[in-house]
Parts: sequence; structure tokens; C-alpha cells
Amino acid sequence: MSSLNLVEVLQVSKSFYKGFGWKPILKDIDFTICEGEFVILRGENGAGKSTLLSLIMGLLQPSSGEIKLMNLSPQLPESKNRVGVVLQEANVPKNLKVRELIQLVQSYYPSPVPTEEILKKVNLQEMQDAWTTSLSGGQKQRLYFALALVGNPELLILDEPTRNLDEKGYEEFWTQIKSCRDQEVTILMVTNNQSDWREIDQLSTRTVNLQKISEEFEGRQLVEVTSLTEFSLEQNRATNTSEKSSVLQAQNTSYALQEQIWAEMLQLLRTPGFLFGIFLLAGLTAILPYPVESAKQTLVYLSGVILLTVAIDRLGGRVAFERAEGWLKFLRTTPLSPTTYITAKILTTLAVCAFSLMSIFILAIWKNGVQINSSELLFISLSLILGVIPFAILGLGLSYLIDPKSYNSISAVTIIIGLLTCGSIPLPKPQLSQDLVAFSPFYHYRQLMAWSAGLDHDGQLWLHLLWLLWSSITFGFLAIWAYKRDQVVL
Amino acid sequence: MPSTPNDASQSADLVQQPSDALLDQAREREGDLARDLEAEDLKVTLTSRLPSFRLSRLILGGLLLLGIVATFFLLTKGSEFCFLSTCNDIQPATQSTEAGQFWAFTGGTSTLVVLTIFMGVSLLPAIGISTVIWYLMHLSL
Repeated sequence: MSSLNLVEVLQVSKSFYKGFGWKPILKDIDFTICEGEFVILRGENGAGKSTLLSLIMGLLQPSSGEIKLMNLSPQLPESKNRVGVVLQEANVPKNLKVRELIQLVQSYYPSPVPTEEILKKVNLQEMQDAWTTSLSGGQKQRLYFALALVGNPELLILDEPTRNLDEKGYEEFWTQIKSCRDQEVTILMVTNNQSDWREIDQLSTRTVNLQKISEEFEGRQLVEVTSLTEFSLEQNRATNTSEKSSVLQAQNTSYALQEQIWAEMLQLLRTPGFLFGIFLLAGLTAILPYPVESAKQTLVYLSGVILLTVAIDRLGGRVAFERAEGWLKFLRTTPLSPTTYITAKILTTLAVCAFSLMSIFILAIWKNGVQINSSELLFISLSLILGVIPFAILGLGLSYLIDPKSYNSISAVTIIIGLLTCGSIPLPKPQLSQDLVAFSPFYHYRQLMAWSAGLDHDGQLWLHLLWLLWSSITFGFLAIWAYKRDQVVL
Repeated sequence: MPSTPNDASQSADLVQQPSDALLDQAREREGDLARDLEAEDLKVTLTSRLPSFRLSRLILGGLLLLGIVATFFLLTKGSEFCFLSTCNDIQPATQSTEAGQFWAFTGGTSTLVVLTIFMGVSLLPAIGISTVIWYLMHLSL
């Protein structure tokens, strides 16, 4: 196996389950890209070009065969340390500005290009403080290209990069590509844009044609059509040794985590619906009239419901939203590890939970005179936050498992089931239906809340803790399975 | 075997334009090759690792279930905890309060369903509004 091969696709097949059977999209593909090449991947719609790119980038797992990116499995974040990608269908986060987004993506790479340089390269200096949503189609495409260049890539993977570009943007794009070629950046590009061929004639080293699999299909699916310019592997071998060893360069994880948390907080503060919900729910504890004798009980149970909602909405809801927007897909093409991504989300969720609880308790004590001391307050808060962990994990699993657009509805139904099975609501006969409530993790969460606040409970604390632990493990397995499944059926 | 750039550059006179004719020529050449390899099995090989994964998952799931049930029975042994029996309700309540609670719960959840599923309101504000409805009904019924 040559170390000069940046991409190696060995006997790779990919099938998708459609209708009542497996439909093959790619069959026994053998394909390599050496350092310094500029490869054009062509093929009619449905031939599997984007599927092949997704496999190379580790967004999908092959049904059979092996893929190596920078001599590593493309599933490993390190394999993408020196890879830049422009995806065909991806949206950037709505509540970030151009500069903030570039700085966020910079933090994922071990040797990023400075922000100013990137903005200058793609001619977005004047738009650096603009919201990403306010960019035109051409400007957005330039931003995607900036995100691909930000990690100082050794390999560029471009899926229809000239789509939506205006005349000026088009010229700038090809100027940048020429500059990348001068710096011996390897490029794999998918394009069906006829106007690209003039430039491709001069720059590309190889064109590969991917044929669509049909019933009459015979022979090899992938055909190496032609070499368009002279390309000497030996010549290239001599020039590419010094700087190219940085694939395994360590990523600054703590910096990436810090930037990820900062971006999460910015987006949170710029989401009016979420903030309104938090303040509305916290305000209810102060506004709603409830009897003094049951004030503590109402406060604790209301806090539990609020925390449950925040955890499910903040963690799973955000992941589902980013999955629907295609941002999660883009993140998977960067060296950002899933652990860093999820850790940032969990820490932000915990911060939001703590803030919500603090607001609720302060308002309740101040407005309704609920008698509760500080140590008791801390104890209740900790119990509430620990008890909500299984449901946050459940939300995370659901976010990968279901259609992201349905997440809101499914999570609402989950909360209704939670309220129904927590033991507070009298269920209709037979008695069995009430007995079955004891299997619901929501019931055990409610009992934990009651115990921590010194309210009436059934005295089975260890049972409730263990049940919540089992639930966490079960939902954890569900989340891992759903995450892996997402890479198979994406 | 993938062709290298050198292989392709041997036909330099043919490669100046990515024309359809050129593509056709290449396809013909590949077609010939493919006919030579007619006997080669081109069937998609789907992964055969699934059964072993399923088995390990089943074992893991079984152990998890066993642990959960064992925990439940061990910890409830000798207690008065209500489990698959005819003991008292978990939440004792009078008949009239039960009806009131039921209607308040129905009102709250219906609001939540309408807001999230039919109107597309975000979960957090929807829960807030539903809680208000539930509480008002709870107080009035």
C-alpha cells in the first residue's frame, strides 16, 4: 500500500434497503487518488457519485470492501486533519456570523489558516460580520469553500462546488483552485456543470466516469476515462514529503471544546423561542397561585417537568435540528470528534438546566415565600439534574433515530407519556395499568424528586436510583446504535 | 486494478478534450474488458457480520433485562410496594379529584399536541403554554 495514496477505495460495494430489497448503488469499486492529482468524478444522476464521496469522507460505511483516507479509516476524526470538503447539501448554523463560524471551524483543525487570510481568499471580508442566513447563494457557496480551506488542506473534496456561483464568484473559485494546484493540493471534484470543463481541461490530471447500475448493467461500474494533463507520479513523489506528515498531528481538543461551547451559548442566546420558553416556565412558578401547604411539592414537580423539557429539547432537539440542516453532516467531514461535539452539548445543557432551576427557585422563594434553605436547595437541584440524565440520553437517541423534522412532535409525545406514567395522574382501571407505571423511568424520577425534597414517597430510594441507572444504560445503547445506524442509512 | 495517471497519459493524443466521443471510446474499451471478465462474480457482497452482532446484542439485551428485573424483585422483597398486585392506588385520591385531574391532564396534553404537532411550536414554549392550561383547569375543576 503506497503512502502516496491519499484515498484508497478497495473492492467497495454499497447497497441501500429500498422497497422490499437491497438496491446496489456501488459495486466492487477500486479507486485510488495519489498526492498531487486533480481527479474529476463524473456520472449521470443516481450513478452514486455522492455516495462514493460520502464513503470516502466516512459519512457512510460500505456494505463491503475497505476505504482509507490519508492511510487511516475515514471513520477516525484524525483522518480529516488535512482534508477540506464542500458538500452538495449542507447548511451552516443560522445564528452565527460569518467570522464566528470560520473561527469555530478553525478550532477543529491542528494547523488552521488565519481568519483574515481565509476571508481574503474567498473575498468575504466585507461580509465577515453578516449573519450566515443573510448571504446570497453565491456568497454561501464561497463561505462553504472558505470552510473547506480553513484547515490548510492537503486534500480537497468538492461536490458540485460551482453550483449557485455568480460570474464573479465563479472566477474567484477557479483562481483559488489554481492557487491550490500551485501549492500541490490534491483535489477530488464532482461536477456536472458544463462550464467547468474549460478550466478542468487545463488543470485536472484524471477523469473518472461512474456508471449507473441498472438491470442491463454489465462490466465495471467505474471507468478511468482519461488523463487530461501530464502527471508524473515520480515527479510528484520527490516534492511531497516534508509538510505532508501532519495528518496525525494532534488536534487541540480543549480549544475545540471551548469554541464549540462558546458557539452553542451564542446560538442559545440568539434563539428567542427557547429563551421565551425558559422564562415562561420559570415565571409560572411565581405567577401561578398555588396553596401554601403544597407550595414545595408544586415547585419541585414543576421544576422536574421543566428540567425534563429543557434536557430533551436542548440536547436531542439541537442534534436533530443540526442533522436536519445538514450541519452535522458537515461536522463529520471535519476532525471534530463526536465526543467533543456531544460533550459541548451536554455541558451547555447542564448549564441551561442549572440556570433554569436557579431562576425557578429564586422566583418561587421571592414571590411565593416558599420555605426552603440553601443546602436543601442544592440537594434538590443535584437530584433533579442527576435524575434527568437518562431522559437527556433518550432524547439524544431519538434525535439520531427518527426523522429530524418529527423530533419536536415525538419529544412532546414522550413528555406526555412521562406525565402519564410518573404516578401523579390517576389511571383508569384495571389495577394492572397502575401497577405497570412502576416500570416507567419517569415514575422513578418523580419518586427521586419527592425523596430529595422530603415529600411523601414510597421509601424505595435504591430501587429508583438503580432503575434510573438501568434506564441510562439502555438509552445509552439505544443512542449508540442509532448513531451507528445513521452512518449506514444516511 | 485502478489505472494510474501514467497509464492514462499514454494516450495523450486522445486526452485533450473530455468529449463524448472520447467517453464512448473509453466505454467501448472497458466494455471489452468486461466481456473478458464475464465469468467474474459481480454480485454485491453484503456484510455477513450482522448475525454475530445480533447475537451479542441479544445477549447484552438479555443480561440488561435480567439485571433490571432482578433489581426490581430484590429491592421490593418484603416491602409493601405495589407491583402487579391489587394493593392501593399509587396516588390515593378521591373520586372527584381524580376526574378533575384527568380533565386537567387531558386539556394540558391536548394543548401540547396541537401546539407541537399541528402548529409546529417549539417544545419549550409549548410546554409552558400547556402547563398554564393544565394548571388553570386543575384549579377550576
